[in-house]
Order: sequence, then structure tokens, then C-alpha cells
Amino acid sequence: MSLQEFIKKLNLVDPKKVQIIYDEKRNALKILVDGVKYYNIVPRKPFPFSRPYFIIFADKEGAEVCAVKDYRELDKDSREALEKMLSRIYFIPLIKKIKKIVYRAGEYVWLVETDRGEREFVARGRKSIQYFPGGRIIIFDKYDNVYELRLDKLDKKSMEYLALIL
Amino acid sequence: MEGDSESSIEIKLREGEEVLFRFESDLTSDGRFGKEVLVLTDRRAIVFDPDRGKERSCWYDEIREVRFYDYLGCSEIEVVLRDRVVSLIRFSRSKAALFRKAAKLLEELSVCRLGVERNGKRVEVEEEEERVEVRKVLPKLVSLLKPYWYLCAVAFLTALGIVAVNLTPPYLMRLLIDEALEAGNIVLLMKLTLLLIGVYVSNTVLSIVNSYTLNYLGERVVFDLRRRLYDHVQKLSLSFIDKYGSGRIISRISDDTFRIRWFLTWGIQSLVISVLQLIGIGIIIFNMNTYLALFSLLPVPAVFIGLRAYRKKAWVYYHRAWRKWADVSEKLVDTIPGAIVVKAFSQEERETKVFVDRLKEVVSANLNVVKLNLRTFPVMGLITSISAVLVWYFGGLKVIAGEITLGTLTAFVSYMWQFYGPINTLSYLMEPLQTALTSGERVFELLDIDPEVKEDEKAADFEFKGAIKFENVYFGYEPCVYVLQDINLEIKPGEVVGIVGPSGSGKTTLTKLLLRFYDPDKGRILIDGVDIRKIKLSSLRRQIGIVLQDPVLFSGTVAENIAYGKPEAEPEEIVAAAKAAHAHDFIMRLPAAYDTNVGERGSRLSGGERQRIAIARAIITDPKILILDEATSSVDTITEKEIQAALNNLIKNRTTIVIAHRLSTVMNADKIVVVDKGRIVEVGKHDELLKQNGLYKRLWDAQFAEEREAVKAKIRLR
Repeated sequence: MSLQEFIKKLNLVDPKKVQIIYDEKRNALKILVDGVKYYNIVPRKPFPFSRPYFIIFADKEGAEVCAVKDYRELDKDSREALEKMLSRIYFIPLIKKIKKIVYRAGEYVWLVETDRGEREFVARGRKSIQYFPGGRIIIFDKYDNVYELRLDKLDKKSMEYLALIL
Repeated sequence: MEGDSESSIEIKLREGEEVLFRFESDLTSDGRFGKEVLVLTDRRAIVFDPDRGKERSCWYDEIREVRFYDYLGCSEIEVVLRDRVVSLIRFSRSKAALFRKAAKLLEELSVCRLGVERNGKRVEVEEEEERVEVRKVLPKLVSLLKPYWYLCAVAFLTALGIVAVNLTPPYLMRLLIDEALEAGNIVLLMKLTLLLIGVYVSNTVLSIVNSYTLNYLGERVVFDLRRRLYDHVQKLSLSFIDKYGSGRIISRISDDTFRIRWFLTWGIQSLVISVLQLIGIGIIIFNMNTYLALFSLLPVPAVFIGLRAYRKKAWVYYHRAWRKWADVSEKLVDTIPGAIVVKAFSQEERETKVFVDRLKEVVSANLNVVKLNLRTFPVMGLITSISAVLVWYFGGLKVIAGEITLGTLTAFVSYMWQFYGPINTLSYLMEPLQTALTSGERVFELLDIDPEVKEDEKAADFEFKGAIKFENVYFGYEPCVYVLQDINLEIKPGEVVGIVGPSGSGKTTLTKLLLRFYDPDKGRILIDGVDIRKIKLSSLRRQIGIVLQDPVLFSGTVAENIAYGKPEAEPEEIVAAAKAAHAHDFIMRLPAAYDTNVGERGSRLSGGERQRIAIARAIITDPKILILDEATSSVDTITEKEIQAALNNLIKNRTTIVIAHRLSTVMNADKIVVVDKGRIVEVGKHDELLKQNGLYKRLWDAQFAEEREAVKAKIRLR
């Protein structure tokens, strides 16, 4: 089978033909694709960092229904519903300021200010840091919590702390 | 070669017989070190013992086969004649590479009856030199600096400036004592003070400029060299990496280039500066007072010889200390991760005893280093101090007698102390210089190697349909040792072909030839009727997908690994490829799904997971030809089923070559090719081959019996 046939199986749909409603009762999404209704749908990001707008819709058992390549093209209401659900599933605080990084016994203790509040976490060395195009950096802490960082949005002091690690 | 040495003159040639090649061995046929000469003429091979004047020969038309054997410490070429087998010549392993060429030539001349081109030129067969040739390496190393000649000029001029500036303070000191202090000349005192400040300031500035220039130069040169090396290695054939070993290549790109940087910057500069300093100080002190200068030179030979002797010993002592410490680490690396074995066999006490013994050796080796240092440096210090005291004494006598001034004596002693610096540097420089030259030689050796697989200038780039044909293909990694012989095989587009056979029968080599990692020695391979040597390498490899038994993943995300052969792939292509490879579900369960880092060489994934990512990587380029090399043999049965399902997805409408150890994997193939000892012995469908009652049937029965035993064993365990 050629790759094209597998891509067809993915059921990549035009975001403009998708309608999404947040279903409070089921804590899931209701989606309407080309006139067909699906209940109990959970959005999943196969590329949460590198292509965060690519979404696969699956039911709670994991059966995949369809996918959209860029959810920013959805209509406003659908997009808001989707983002509401996504924010429950993907918790990736954006680091705004690094207040301190201390090296302690083979680990780095970060004290940071994020868009979700202040946080202290412990991460291992360089291997816990992933780089993505456009100066985006993803940091995994000891427990696999994830923090995002944008090099172009950091102040000088934070950059100095960061240089201790990178 | 012919007639150019005494030994070949004595060989009795027939009329019109022409000597083509000549090889010298280092062992005699009775197993002693000595010399025998193998001469290949246009008609026969002659082995000649120049010391005893004996010779024996084989006519080419008698030779049926040429064999090359590597033994322990020696090797041998054997020829099979019509009625007997003869040991042609023996040689030590240091001559093995040369005689492999000889064996290849002999085979071509005799068994293959290939004529050697007679355009007046003979093919030169040269032994590979392993000695470092300083004269050749040094100019090449220096030529690396050429593009940065202006930086070199800055570095040299600033170095010269530093030497000059450092020579002035003692002179100014003399003026200070003799002319300013004694004469009470305050104006001169102020001038000298300012001048001295100026000297130290310019010394600082020059040092900064010099040091930065040298470091910058070093970084540039080593950057160029590493880039050239890496680029070159990427272009070299796989056979080269097999031959050299990846460890050696890595060390050449990292360690050897580092040593070269040291040599080109600090090495050359230290050498030049030290020599200039010695000359400068020498001239000054002899001009000031020859009598005192001779005194101050007294300890120089002792210091130089002493330091050289120290370095030699220190090398031995420090290396011993490192080795002893390495022994300790080795024990740790063995026994801490292997603690389960130690405990299971209750060997804790023995292991502790071994460890303590090794620790004791570390202590004694370290103390030896301390003792050596104490024997050398205080004594050296004493010698130089005594000579300084003597200069003070005899110089003092001269000051009292009014022959020289106090300022001259003070300046003299300062110069004298400066003298020992360059001596120390020179005594230390010799060894790293030698090491750097060796490194240079290794790096240039690597750069001089040509890729064996070359791309034809007119190579074509076209879309494959997927027909493959092996035509009378012969191939060996070593000359005369064919891994594949007389391979004739035709595969139609879209066909699934299984290749089976005992391990070492040449199955994988077949696919390596198809991908042109190597070129066949004889015969040719065609894709859609075009010789693969006439197809662009990039086109060929892009349209052939391969999944290996032990897939190599690179550090990076899952998505990057899948899209390795197609970096511009769209996200849906990546997901589709992973789905086709039955990898999507486990990938979505990873913490960051497709953006999860797989770790070094894929270490964070299991064998089966790595395998499925490798399948996705092969499928994303939508190759027309797919090679599955034991793709399921390293995983458990459940995973194998999963992978098998993935593979079944892929092989539809693609020419697929499946190399398998488990015959059940290929029983549904359109065609099964049975390979044994480098030859195709059977071809057919599963049922046909079983009926033939040949090797396939035997392999099938053996595996079936094994599985039955395994099932029985399981039942018994229950």
C-alpha cells in the first residue's frame, strides 16, 4: 500500500467543515464532521511542540475519528471549545522569567515565573532540554512535567542563568 | 620491477617470458624470518629464495584456485593445482595486505585468465608505508595555515614584541641603580619609572593580542580540518568504515585534530619564542660580561639533560599511575552493575580482595610519581641557585674591584634567571611535537583515501518500476574470498522475494550490493534494465527502503527519526507512516508523542518499538523497492506478529526482498531464493521447494522440530 493510502485513512478533514462543541456533561467534545456527529471525543496532539496545531480527534477508547492539520482555521466557537479542552489535557506553562538556577548534586533546581504562576522544579542536565525551531525550548523536569521557554522573550538576567545550563 | 634488483636477475626466465609483478615476503617456506620473492610473469608464478638460490614455480594453466589464509602471526597463499595443493608462499601478518593484492593478481592471471594491460606500463604494487614521514607531513600541516597567513603574521610579530619587551626590564634596572639612584638623578628616576610602566603595559597588551590571535587561528584551522574530515568520511564507501573501524575514525576527527591545533598554534610559537629568547639573552649577557656569562651557563647542560631525563621517566611513571587507576575503574564498572552475579556466586570477599590489591597498586604508583618529582625539582633548583650564588660572589668581587657596576650585576642576575624559562620549554616541547606530527600523518592519510564506490558522471535519475536483475555477480570483502559467486536472479516489479539460508551464506551482502554500499567484483546488477553503476547514488538509495535487524536511530525526536530520509515531510505523512508501521499507538502513549526524544541511539525505546520506527522511516519515502533484513528476528513473538502485520501493509505493490531466518516469515512469498555458501542453490515457491527435498526442506524440518520441542517444553513446565 502506498503512503497516500495511509494518509487517506487518517481522514484529514478541512477545518472549515468541522464544528466543535464542548460537552460539559461528558467532559469531552462533540464534533460534527460533514454532517456526521461524534460524541465523547478527545483531541490529541501528535506533535505537541513542533506542530502544536495538528490535532487528531479520537473517542475515549482511543479510536481515531479524523484529524485537522491546523486548528487555527476552525470557526471561532469551535476553536474556543477545542482550546478549552486542550488546556485541560496539555499543561505546558510558559516560563517568563528565570529567577534562579542552582546546581545541586547532579541536578538543576529552577525557580521560575511562568504564565501560570511561580514554580520551583528540579531537572537533570542538558538531556532534559529539547530544542525546537524558532528559539523554542522545552524542559522536562524529574517527573516529566513540561515547561516551555522562548529565547526571544527572556530578559537578560534570565538568559544569564540559562547560559549556565545550555 | 623486473631486473631492478639482484634477486630477480637470477631467476631463469623462458624465452619471451616477461616479469609483471614482484612481491617480497619476510618468512621462508620452512618458517624462519628471511626473504622469499614471489614473481608473477605473464605465464607462471615463481617463488624464489635469493639466499639459497632455490626456486619453484606454478604454470597459470595448472592453477584451479588461489586461496589466502590468515593464521596466528602469519599468513599463506595456497594454490590448488590439477592433482595437488601447494603452499605457494608464507609471510608474516605485516605483509598480509601486500600479499592480498598479490593473491588477487595471481587469481586474475591464472584462474580468471585476465590479461594484464600491456601498454608498456606495469601496475605498480607498493607496500603501504606506516612510518611517520616528518618531511612530508610538516609542509602539509603548515599549509593549513596558509589561508590565515595574516593571523600568523600578527601572532609572530606580537611574539617577537613580547620577547623584546621582556628583555628590557633588567636593562632599565641597571640604569636605575647605576645612573638614577647612585647619582641622585630624580628626573631620570621618574623617566625610568614611566618607561618601566610602559614596558609592562605593552607586555600585557601584546600578550592579550597574541593569545587571542593564536586561539582564534587554532579554532579556525581545526574547524576547517574537522569539516573537511567529516565531509570526506561521509562520502567514503561503507567498506572504508568497515576497514578502519568507527572508533578510529572518530578519534581522528576529534583527538588528532586537537593535537594538530596545539602544534600549529602553541607548539610552533613556543618553539620560535624559546629559541629567540635564548639567542637574545645569550647575546646580551655575553656582551655585558663574558666571564660571568660563562659562569651562568655552567648549569645549563645539567638542567637541560636533567629535564629531558625527567620527562622520559615521568611519562612512564604517570602512565603507570593512570593504568593502575584504570584497573580500579574497570573493576568497579564490572562488579557494581554485575553485583547480581557476584552475590549469586558468593564472591564478595574475593572481589573485595582484588579491589583492595588494585587500590594498593594505585597508592604505590602515585607515591612513585611523588618521589620522582622530589628527586628532580629540588635538586634542579639547588643547582641553579648555587650557580646564581656563585655569580653573585664572583660578580661581587668585580663590583668591589670596580670593574663592573652594581647595576650591571643586578641586571645580569635577572637575565640569568630568564635563561631557564626557554630551556624548560624546549626540553618539554619535543615529545608533543612528535605526537602532533603523528596525528597530522593520520589525518592526512584519512583525507587521501578515495571513495571506492564512485558515481558515474552521466549517472541517471529516474523513477523505478522495481525490476531487479543480478547478472553473474561475484563479490568478496577480501580478494579471493568470494562471499557471493555466480549470482543470477531476476525479480519482477511488485514481486515479494524471500531470501533464506544458513547464517553467513551471503544474504545480507546481496542487499548491500543492491544499495551500492559495495560494487561487485564481477558481473552487474540492473534495475529496470539499467546498470546500478549508471544510476545516481541518491536516486538509487532514495527509492530503496531498508529495515535492518538492529535498527539505528539517532538522538532526536520520534518525528525527526521517522522523517530522516525526507526532512520536509508533512505531519500527516509522518503519522501515516507510523500507522502503516503499527507504531502510531505506542508513539501516542509516549509523554510528548511524536515530539518525544528517543535518547541516544534510541535507548529510551524497546527493540520492537525501535524496529517499528525504522519501518516507518523506510516507508515515508514511499520506496519502490523495500528490503527487510531479518526485520523481525530480534523481537518476541507477539511483537513479531505486530511487525509482520505492519510489513504486510507495506509490501503490497512494491518489489520486496525479505531476508529471514524464520522460514515462516517468507512462506507466502512469490519466490523463495535459497542461498548457501555464497551461491543460489534453490529457487521456487514454498510448496515446490518442500517437494524438491533439498536444503530448504532440511531447514524447514529443522525449524519445525525446534518449534515442536519448544511447545513440548512449555507443556511440561505447566
